[in-house]
Amino acid sequence: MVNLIRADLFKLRKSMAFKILVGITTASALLMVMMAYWIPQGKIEASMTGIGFMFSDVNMISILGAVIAGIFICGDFDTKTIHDAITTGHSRGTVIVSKAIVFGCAVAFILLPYAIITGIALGSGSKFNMGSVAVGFLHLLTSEAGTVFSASEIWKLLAIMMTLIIVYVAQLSICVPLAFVLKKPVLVVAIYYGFSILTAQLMGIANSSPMFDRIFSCTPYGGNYTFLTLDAVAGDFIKAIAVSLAFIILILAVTFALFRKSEMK
Amino acid sequence: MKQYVLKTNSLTKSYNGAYALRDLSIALEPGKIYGLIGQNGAGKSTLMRMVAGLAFPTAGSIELFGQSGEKDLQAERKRLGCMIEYPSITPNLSAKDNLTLHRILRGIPSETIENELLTLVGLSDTGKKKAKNFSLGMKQRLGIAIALLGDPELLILDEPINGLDPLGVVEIRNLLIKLCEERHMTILISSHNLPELYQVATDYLIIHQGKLMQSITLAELEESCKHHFLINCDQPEKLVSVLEVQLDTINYKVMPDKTVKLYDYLGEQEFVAKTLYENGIAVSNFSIQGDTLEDYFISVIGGGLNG
Repeated sequence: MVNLIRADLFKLRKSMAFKILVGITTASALLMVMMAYWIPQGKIEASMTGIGFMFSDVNMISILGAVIAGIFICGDFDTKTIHDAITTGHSRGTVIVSKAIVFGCAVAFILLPYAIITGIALGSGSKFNMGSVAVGFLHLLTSEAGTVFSASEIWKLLAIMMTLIIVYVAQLSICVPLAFVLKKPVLVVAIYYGFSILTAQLMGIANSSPMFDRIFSCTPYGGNYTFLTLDAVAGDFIKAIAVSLAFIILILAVTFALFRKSEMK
Repeated sequence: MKQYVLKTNSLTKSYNGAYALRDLSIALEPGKIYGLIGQNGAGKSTLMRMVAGLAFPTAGSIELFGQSGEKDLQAERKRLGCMIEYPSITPNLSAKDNLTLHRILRGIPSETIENELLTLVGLSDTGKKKAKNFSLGMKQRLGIAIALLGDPELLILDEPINGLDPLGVVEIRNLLIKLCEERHMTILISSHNLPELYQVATDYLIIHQGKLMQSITLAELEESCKHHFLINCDQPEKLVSVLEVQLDTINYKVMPDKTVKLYDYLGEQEFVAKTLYENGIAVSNFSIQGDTLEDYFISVIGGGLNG
C-alpha cells in the first residue's frame, strides 16, 4: 500500500491540474476573506454575501473536491494506472484504501489556503461578516472575528481547523465509490454537487425534526460539525472526528463491495 | 513434474450467456514465446485480462507459477509484466516520469532502471516531451518499457507492435527474442500480424470463438507449413526405397498414416512423378502441400488441417 500511496503522491506532485486547484482555492480563500472584511465596512453592498459565499470553503470544496476524485480516481482508470496496480499484485482493497488516503490528503491540501488565510485574518483582529450564510472556515472567521486569542485558544483554533478538514474529507468520501463505479469525472462532480445541495436542505429538516437530527448527526453532513467555534468542548471535537472516521470506513467498505468483483475494461 | 509458468484449466468466461472463452486449457512453459492467434473477439484479450486479474472466470481455474486461488494468484502477479489492449500511460508525464511512477508503484528502489529501459526500447532521447505528444509507436514502446519494469518472469503483450514503423517492429522483435533467450522470460504475445508473429514465437496457441483450436510448437508448425510433395501409395516401403536409391534423397518423412512427405525436388514435379511411375509405384495422391501461418490459421479455424 505504501508503494501505491507514494506513486499517487508522485503523480500529485507532477500534476498541473492539482496545482491549478490549489491556486483556485488560494484565490477563493483570499476573495472570501476580503469580501467578509469589506461587507461590514460598507465598501461593498451587503447583498454581495451570496457571491462571497460562492468563494467560501464549503462551496468550493463541494466542486473542487469532486474534481480531485475525478482526476485522481477516474483519471487512473483512463490511464490504466489502477489496472497496472492490480496486474502487479496489489489487491483491490489496497487500491481503494490507498486512493482514499491520497484523495483525503489532496482535499486537505487544497483546504490549507482556507485554514492559513482564515488564521491570518483572525490574527489581524479585524471584523468579518458574511451575513447569515457562513459555514466551515467562513463561519469560524465571522464568529471569532475581533477575538484576541490566548495561547490555548490558538491551539483550539488549530484543532477546529483540523476537525473541519477531517469533516470535509468525510463528506467528500462518497466521491470514492462514485469514482470507482462511474469512472467518469463529469458524473462524479455533478452527482456530488447535487448531493451537497441536498444535504444542505436536509440540514433544514434536521433543525425542525429532533428525530431526523439524531439520525443525520450520525453522518458528517449533520450535527453542526461544520459550525465549530471556540465555544466547542472536547466532546464536540471527538464526536465530529469519530462520526467522520466511521463514515469514511463505511463508505470504503461500500466501495470495496462494489469494486471487489467488478470487471476492468 | 513439469513446471508451468501459466496453466489454465477449463477456463470459461461468459457475458450474459455469451461465451468469450470456453473450456480453455493451456500450459505455458518457462523461457518460451507463445503467439496467441485469433480473430477479433476470439477471446485473446479476455484470456490475458483474466490472467492479469482484471476480469474473473465464470468457471475453471488459473495457475500462475504453480499457484492458484485468489490470494496466491495476487501474490504471483508481482512476477508479471503486462500491456493489455493499450499501454498504461499518464499523458501529462514524460516517458521517464511515467516509468518512475510505475517503478514506485511496483516498489522498485533502483533509480537507474528508467534510463536503462528507455534506452532498451529506443526512447532515450524523448527528454521532457509529454507522453500525450508521443506517436502511437512511441506509446507502444513506452508501454513495453513499463511492462518490463521489475524484470518480470511472464510478459503478457496484447498487440505490442500496433502502430510501430517497420524498423520499430524489427527492434521490438529482437528485444523480445533477447529477453526470452538471455533472461529466460516467458512471453505471451497476441498479434494480428501473423508473419511477424511467425518470426518471434516459439509456440502458437490458436483460439477461435473462445475455444483453443490448436497448441503447436514452431517446429511442428514449420513441419506443417513446409512445402513438400505429399505422396499416398499402397507400398510406402517401396516408395521409400525408390526415394533413397533412384532420387538419392533422405529428405522425406513417413507420416503415421503412411503418407510420405518429400521435401526435395520441389521444382521438378514431372521428374519425380515419372521416376515413381517407372519404378512401379501406384500413386493415389501426389500433390504439393504447404502453408503460410495465415493459411494455416485459416485452415485451423475453418475446421480442416493441411499437411
